[in-house]
Amino acid sequence: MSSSPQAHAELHFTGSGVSSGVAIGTAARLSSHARQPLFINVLPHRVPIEIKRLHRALHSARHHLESVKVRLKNEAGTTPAYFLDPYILMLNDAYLTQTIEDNIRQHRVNAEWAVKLSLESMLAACDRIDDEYLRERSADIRDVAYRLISILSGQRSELPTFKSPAILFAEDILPTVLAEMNTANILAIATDVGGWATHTAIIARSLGIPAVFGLQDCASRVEAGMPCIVDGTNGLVILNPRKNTQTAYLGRQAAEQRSRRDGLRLAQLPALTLDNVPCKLSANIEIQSELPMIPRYGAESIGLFRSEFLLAGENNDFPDEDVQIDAYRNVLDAARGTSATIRVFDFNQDILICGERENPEANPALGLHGVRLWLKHEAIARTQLRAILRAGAEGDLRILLPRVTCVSEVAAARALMESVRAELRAEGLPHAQTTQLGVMIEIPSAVFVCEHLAREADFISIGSNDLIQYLLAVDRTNEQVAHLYHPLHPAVLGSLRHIVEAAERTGKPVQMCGEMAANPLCAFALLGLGLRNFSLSPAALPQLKQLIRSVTIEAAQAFFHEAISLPTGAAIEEFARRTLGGDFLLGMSGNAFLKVVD
Amino acid sequence: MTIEQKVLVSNTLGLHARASARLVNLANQFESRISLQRSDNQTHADAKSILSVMFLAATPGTELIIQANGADESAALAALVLLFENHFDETSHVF
Repeated sequence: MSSSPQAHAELHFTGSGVSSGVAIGTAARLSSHARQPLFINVLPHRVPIEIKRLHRALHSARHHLESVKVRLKNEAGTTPAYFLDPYILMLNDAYLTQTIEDNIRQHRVNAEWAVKLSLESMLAACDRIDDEYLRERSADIRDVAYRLISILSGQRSELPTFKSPAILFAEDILPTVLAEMNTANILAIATDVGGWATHTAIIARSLGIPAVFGLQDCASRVEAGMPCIVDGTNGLVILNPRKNTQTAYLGRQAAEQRSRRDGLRLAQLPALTLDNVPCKLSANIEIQSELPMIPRYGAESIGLFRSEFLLAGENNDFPDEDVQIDAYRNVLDAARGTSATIRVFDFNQDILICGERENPEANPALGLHGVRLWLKHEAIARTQLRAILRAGAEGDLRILLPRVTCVSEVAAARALMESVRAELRAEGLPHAQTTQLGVMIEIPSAVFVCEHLAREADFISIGSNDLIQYLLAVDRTNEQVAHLYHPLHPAVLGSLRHIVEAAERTGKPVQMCGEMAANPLCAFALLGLGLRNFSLSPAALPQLKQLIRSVTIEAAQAFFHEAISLPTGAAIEEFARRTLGGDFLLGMSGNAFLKVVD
Repeated sequence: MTIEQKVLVSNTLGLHARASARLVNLANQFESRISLQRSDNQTHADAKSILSVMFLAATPGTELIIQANGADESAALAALVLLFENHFDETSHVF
């Protein structure tokens, strides 16, 4: 082809853009994996040996895919990793094993040929399926069969490793092959067959690799090293692009990269005050739909995951261990290599537990709740601890105890956690070797024993919403008293200062995970009293970051020093407003937060 | 004694590979023999074999009868029916 006069002509191929983005580079070929197996007639005494070979190959293929699944989960998250499950199950399928074994016995052939026979009959059955989507699953069966044949023939699939960045061309790429490849140097993927719904496309999307599939007869015209462009957004592949085509695409590529960067820029700016004091912003998470927002809003980690939101259904059924492990792993995945803190189930008394209603309490807010209730229901607590410890094998997963009032509760929780860890060790299940255990300070008594709590725990988290309600004896939802809920009340600020001092004395980290920090006037006071770590609902983070980046700690400290001697919340609010300046506050996005009390 | 219940395949894509994988993984947690039968053409599948389930080619709208027989048959039937009722969790994830 290189000798032909057409060799350097610009060629366009259209297909379906299955993963967006533009890539400009040189081509690499992935040759077809489909090698025909050898046909061997075996003597009767060889039949059991062939069956044994088959079982060994099944086991080895399964084992290999399990390890690919673990790696893919780290690179692309839990959802794409689950796409390997059907392949793993097929390798474990009694029906498949039986069909291949029958072929070995009946036809007296080697295991490779028996796999081929089984594949052919299954593909014929697939062809009779009416539904296009289901019929396309024959690719999954073919994938598994070729994998077995290559293991049996000793052709350990040699995957190309790309030493320099390249655009990958192939007739087809099996999903398991893409999953097991090192994709670091793959700029884009172009294949002759396939479409949006294939597992390969799903994996390409989750790895963020631009891809165009269904190009029909493109791969055969490509030679290694040929310059090319893949436009995954528009489903276009260009071979030997002319100079002006290249220039146009370089411009588009730069624009795409710029817009991606601009969107991230605001969120990615460091949370530094004007005098360069670093703060840490994390996300409070309730439901899964919030997880994708985490990078967009610039959260460094997940400061609070409210696990009671896992309770599902009308009966508030407790999720079993596996469901919880999945959920906590998703949270950990979303934290992208930093930490995630799971607050253990925090119930109110009116929630059913295992179908049994506790005796109704006259005063639930002063009743059996938070860590008290959790410790009382040991089976539920143990299941949750098992799930957190097991999910924590893969990253920094922390535990937070709600509504702690006494050091004994922390000690009891720690003892339970270590007993669960010993149990997991005995069962040989992978689990976290150490787990940070934190206390939530949200009840006044905890404020006053805070230093003891800090010594017993690994970190402190301030739940400002409940702390303010308990301190001021104000239910925010009660219209008659809602106006008395004042976060800048001197009692609140004094309590917070007391907590921060206890944390400083014990050297334990302290964060606030409550909506108080979402208000700029309050956030200014919090910086002044010494807080640096904040966890908020993701959407509220940019405004907090804006405030942090507009003030100095020196000014905030001077403000707090004077504010704490003022007699009322209203006076402190007025003082904060004067100190920050009306112009400054109007410049803040989201005017709704300008008043502390509604 | 065999117990059975009718279900409707109501997820978007029918019993495709991943949905089948969920079903087979679930079925394998029970001791009972569990089978699926299409109401329209009487085709049978072993719920513990992914290939068997895939070849049932149950597209959206297909009516199936789940049959369970064994020590834990009622738990098995309830769990599988729930999986169908939740559309294989395709729209809502674990959370």
